[in-house]
Amino acid sequence: MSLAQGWIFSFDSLLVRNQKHAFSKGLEKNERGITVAIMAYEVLARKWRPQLFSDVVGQEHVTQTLMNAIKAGRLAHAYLFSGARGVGKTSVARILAKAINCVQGEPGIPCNKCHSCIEIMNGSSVDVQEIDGASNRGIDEIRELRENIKFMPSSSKYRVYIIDEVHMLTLPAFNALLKTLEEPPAHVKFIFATTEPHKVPATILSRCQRFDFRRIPFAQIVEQIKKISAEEDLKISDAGIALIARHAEGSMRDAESLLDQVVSYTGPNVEDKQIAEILGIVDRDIIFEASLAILEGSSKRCLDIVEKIYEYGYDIREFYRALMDQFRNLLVSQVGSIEDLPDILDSEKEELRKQAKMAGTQKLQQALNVLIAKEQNLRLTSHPRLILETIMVKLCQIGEVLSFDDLLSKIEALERRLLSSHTVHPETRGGQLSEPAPTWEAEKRTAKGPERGSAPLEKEDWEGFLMHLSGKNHAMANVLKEWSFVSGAGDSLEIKKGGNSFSASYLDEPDRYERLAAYCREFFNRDLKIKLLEGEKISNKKRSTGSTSKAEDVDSGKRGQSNLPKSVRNVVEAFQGEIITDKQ
Amino acid sequence: MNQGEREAKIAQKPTVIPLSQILGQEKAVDFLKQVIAREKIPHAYLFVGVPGIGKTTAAIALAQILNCENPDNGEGCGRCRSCRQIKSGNFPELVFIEAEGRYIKIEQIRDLDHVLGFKPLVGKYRVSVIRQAETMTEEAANAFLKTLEEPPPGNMLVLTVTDPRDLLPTIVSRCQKVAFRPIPAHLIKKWLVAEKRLSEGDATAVARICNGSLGRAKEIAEGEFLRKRKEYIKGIIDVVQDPPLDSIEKVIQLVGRESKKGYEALDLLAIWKSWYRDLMVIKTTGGDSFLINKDFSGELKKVSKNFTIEMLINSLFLIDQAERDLTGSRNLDLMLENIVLGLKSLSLERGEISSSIRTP
Repeated sequence: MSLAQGWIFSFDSLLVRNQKHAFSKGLEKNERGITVAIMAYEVLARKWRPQLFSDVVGQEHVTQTLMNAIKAGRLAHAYLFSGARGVGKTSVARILAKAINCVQGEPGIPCNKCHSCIEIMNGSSVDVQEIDGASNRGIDEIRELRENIKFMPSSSKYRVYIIDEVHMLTLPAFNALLKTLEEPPAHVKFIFATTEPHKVPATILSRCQRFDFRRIPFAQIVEQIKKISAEEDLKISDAGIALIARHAEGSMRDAESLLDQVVSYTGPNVEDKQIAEILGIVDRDIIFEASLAILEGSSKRCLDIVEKIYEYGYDIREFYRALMDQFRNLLVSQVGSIEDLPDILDSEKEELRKQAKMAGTQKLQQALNVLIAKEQNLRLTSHPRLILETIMVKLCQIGEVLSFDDLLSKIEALERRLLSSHTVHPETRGGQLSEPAPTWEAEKRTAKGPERGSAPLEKEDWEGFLMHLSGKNHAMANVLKEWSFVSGAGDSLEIKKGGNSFSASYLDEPDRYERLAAYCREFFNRDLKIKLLEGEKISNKKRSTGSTSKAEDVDSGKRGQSNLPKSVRNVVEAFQGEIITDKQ
Repeated sequence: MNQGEREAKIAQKPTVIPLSQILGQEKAVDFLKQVIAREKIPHAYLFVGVPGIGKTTAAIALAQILNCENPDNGEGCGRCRSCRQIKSGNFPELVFIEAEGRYIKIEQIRDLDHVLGFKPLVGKYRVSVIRQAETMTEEAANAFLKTLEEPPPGNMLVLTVTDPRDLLPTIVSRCQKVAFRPIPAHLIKKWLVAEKRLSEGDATAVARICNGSLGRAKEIAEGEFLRKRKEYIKGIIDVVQDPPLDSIEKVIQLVGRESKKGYEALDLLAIWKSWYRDLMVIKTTGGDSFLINKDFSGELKKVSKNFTIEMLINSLFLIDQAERDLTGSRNLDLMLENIVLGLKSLSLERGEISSSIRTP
């Protein structure tokens, strides 16, 4: 019973939705023709929504394919349109729906005059339903849709379901759709549109023909805006159009709403300055002033500039973005060519080059790093102005930066000075300098390794080696610390394994043994044959009874521990600690 | 305690005043007036700016003009039925959607959808204001997209937001953006002196600390913030010099132990931030031309000797981070201890850390 009720209710609601839509559209149509307009003005983005495949800008790879598919009669039963906002997904979906149901026009070109086309344009068609996937996202809505799919279309060839924002369907809803989507009745077509295809399950994606809509190229946005402004009798300069197109970032709808906004402020005669003002574009002069102040390290001027920006009412985050762009451009002009960058005016290039040269690549890079690292701080703070000031002062603190080449030459000079005072054979120095290896050898000898040729190694040497090792291979050093040095005469080195059964087998692996030999060679400057002597195996039992047998191979700190409880000893061993006072 | 609630508090109780009387928003007001004059009224606006600078007030004024029976020079007449209804808050076609709890939920958007389906009963336009649109859940925002793109005729949607980057790009792209700027400090100062009877010094400090938000300035002027400011500034001077345990105790005393201490701590950090910012200004410029705490310039100069610029920069970032951490629900006392110790380590004069830690 309750199930049936639910069904009726949902079916009802679907009807209501359709009627509501039709009702409102009808109203609009009436008003446009006659009497007092409620909302006489239709925004450009809606007015200029493409009605033919050929009207769609910048998506030829989609529109051409679809037209060919219609002509050849090779229509898929499900399409998925993905792409950024405002690039034409919904528009193409509507055109496709019209094209396949149109009764008059040529294949692939809807006539926009026949009954079917007009119904679809009004949103009143019973056979073409546009569903908002984000509002109707549950499994119930999909079940309802599945029930309706069975019925033949009332007047057109196909029943078309356009599901917009399809990524917002819930997972159960998607899954409920799978069977239908794989083999729908011949009279049903699905068109999905989404900005976030990665949120759509793979099982859905694989059942659809997917079309990725591109961001619309700058030049094509410019062209389209020119066309619109000519049709709408707007006077707007090329530079102004470029400004809008750049701000739209590849979205036609953004470009159109920006144009709309500008025109609604200025009227048909648009000045460039007004565009910059409305778009909130920060004055280029201030940006150049700011980058100069930063590069010259003048905190005071930076603070002045922040004050100016604030008083003028620029968005501080917007300014920050512009400043980042500026440093990016400076860096580009230093390492590459700015001639090809479209968004830099010719008049600015000279100044850019000058500032970039003054700063140098390293400094620019560092500044950019700071800007990127601190962007998050500015985004999240509740006091953007204070944080902007702080970041600007920090940028000013970047002092003169030495390039790596300069650093290297300084190090080389230092090395030369050191060598001249330490090496035994100063006369060969000149010859050695060109070859890095011997120099390195010489430096090492003076720096760390014992200088005796093949003199016997002492315990101190071994401990020095362990220190050296702990910097290189901490794990190995820790194991070896437990072991003890026995003797080191000539080219051989004898060490005794520690009592710990876990680490006793540490060097049994040839790989590790090799590495130890290499470390020794590096430190002592000669090949050593390392002999491993078996240490006394200490069973747990022996340890716990407080045997003193291992006392000789542990250091003095541990010696007193043997009568401690085992747990304490374990702790001391694990952390290599020391018992300072023993209250027992 | 969270930042969102606080912002909601600042933005509360929008007043009904004509567009042109909104303080410091000449550009936005001018823009809206032009649009009305040209009758090119779009269906969706996005009002951008920090809370408490007049976004909702502007939306209400807009509703008034659009519905006024005899608009007078781009302003509502104030006498006709719809003007009076708006004034008294009874106009049925002025709809507000606000966060219920922390978020605007999908049900609220569905309800709005339902309402928009009907023709406005009274007046010409229904104006629906979605306040702090960034509080929409992801589901709500997505469910709103279709309506926002093509609402039924006779409807205008106004979304207010602090930072449009917190919204889905698909939402932003469907609206016309109108930027509301932070109100210049001198205007706020004048307003505070005239309306709230503050002294010059207090007014300067408040005007500079409120981030250009009149709502925040009002809140500060009406609360105990001003009294606390002096206390907190003395606090920070001591905190850096005292031994750690004393200073931690001191800070915890400063914010008090009552339930409102979350707010107190936020105020404390805001004041400390302004203090460090002033130190930075003095350190880098030597002058005191745009100090926030101008009335303390003597102390500032004296104290600034204990810091390097680097220390001040790091301290500022530290306080800023603490402020953000505070808005989540963390252990407040622990946070304060952490910030105090952090600030102490960023000063040349640290007090005697080793000796004081041994003292129980």
